[in-house]
Amino acid sequence: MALSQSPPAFFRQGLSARIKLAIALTAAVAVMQLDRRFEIASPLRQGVSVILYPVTEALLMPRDLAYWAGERLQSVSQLANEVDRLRDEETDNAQSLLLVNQLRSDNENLRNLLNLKSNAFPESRAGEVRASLKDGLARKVLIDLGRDQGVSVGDPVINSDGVVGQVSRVFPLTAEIRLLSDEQLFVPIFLPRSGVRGITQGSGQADEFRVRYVNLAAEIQEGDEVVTSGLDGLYPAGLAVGRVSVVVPAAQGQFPTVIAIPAASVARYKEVLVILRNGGAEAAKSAGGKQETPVASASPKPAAPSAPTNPNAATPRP
Amino acid sequence: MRPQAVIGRAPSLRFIAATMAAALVFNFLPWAPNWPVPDMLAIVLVFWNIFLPSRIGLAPAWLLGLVMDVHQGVLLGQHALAYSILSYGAITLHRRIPDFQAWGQVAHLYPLFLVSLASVFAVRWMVEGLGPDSSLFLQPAAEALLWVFVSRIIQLVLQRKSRPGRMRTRKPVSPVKT
Repeated sequence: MALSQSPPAFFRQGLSARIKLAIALTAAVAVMQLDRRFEIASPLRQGVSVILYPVTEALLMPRDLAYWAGERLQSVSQLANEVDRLRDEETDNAQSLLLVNQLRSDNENLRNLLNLKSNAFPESRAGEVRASLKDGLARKVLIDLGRDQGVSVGDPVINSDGVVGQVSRVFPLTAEIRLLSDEQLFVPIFLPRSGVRGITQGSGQADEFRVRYVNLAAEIQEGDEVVTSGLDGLYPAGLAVGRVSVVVPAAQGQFPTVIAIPAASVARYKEVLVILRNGGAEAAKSAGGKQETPVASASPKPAAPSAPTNPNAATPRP
Repeated sequence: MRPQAVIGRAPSLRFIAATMAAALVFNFLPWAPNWPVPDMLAIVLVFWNIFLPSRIGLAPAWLLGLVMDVHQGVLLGQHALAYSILSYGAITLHRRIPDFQAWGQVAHLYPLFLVSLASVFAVRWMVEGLGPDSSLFLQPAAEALLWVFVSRIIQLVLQRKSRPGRMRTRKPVSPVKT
């Protein structure tokens, strides 16, 4: 009816709608299986994302323009305050930086004396959050670093306040980060006050996460600090993760429910730091073949020794 | 809307593609992740499958679904599944919907959008173990309500394009001066 003026075909009607639906549903399920179990669908995703990249970037432009204009229009006194604050912070940091450098060289010497493997510091790269993905069930954001910058799946992401999340998918120019509050991100943590270990799991809804599998006998209080334990060899030990906000005592035979608020919020700062576990090996590879061999040989070092050494560092007896 | 009101010139493929592209752009806007923002692409697909079921079938719906999956960074194929169900439902309903007033159309389309979104949530639940949230019921309502407006607007554009007076209102070609 409606809009077409020519009558429908009388004889050549093609497949019936029901068969078409069956084909479409089967194809959709097949693509899901391919995407989930094999890497075959990955090039498809990468290709489409590269094609969509200019469109999504163009759509973000009005927002970025508004941010930019807002920053320009900040009053002078506000900026002066900010500069004062940053200067104070810098002097504080300079002191601790000095101490860190001293400790680092001490540590290096002691390790050399004890014939331990050197505990190299992983490379990192600063990026910016571009957008949050519209997906009600997952909490993910997109950053402006991608495979071309050496980011790989599984890299931890932090900012000045603490742990932000983990890279869950990498595209050529962008990467997707699973936030701490996502239901599918687990980070091994340690509560310094009570000496309890646990694992975080996002609640998926609000900006909070649960601390799971904590010791049944542990006394956890509101306001307890949560830091990474470094047991996974992925997150450096001792990074701020959050602060306990709600504790519901354990019922018989159950773990207590501990809810915490993340220390780092991407809503406050757009800047994030990606810790490159591969040491930027891929970036070096694309930059030129000269640097490839030393970087590649050095790359497995930071991940491997951190696993056995960090737990020892993070287990003071309560 | 009355059937006679929508009888017009068959829209060009370019116009159909333009509406779908505009819907995609709407979906790509940086919306807040927790709002039940209606899926404009689903709305436009339902419109064309209701008013032109013989030309728009499941294939564009399936392909555009993949594009949405990539953009949202979710498991590939779940929007393709949802849009296929949606288009099939729209084709099934295409003789009924135009005969109803606005609220009747909303009443028909709400379950359709609901089933389509429920299929997405079912996939999420089976694959990732994530339960549905309130947007399962709110988003289809927003989509059904918005569908009524969007379909009116597209029809108005089509009628304007097919109005005979439009030919006459063109500027007459100025005579060549000698």
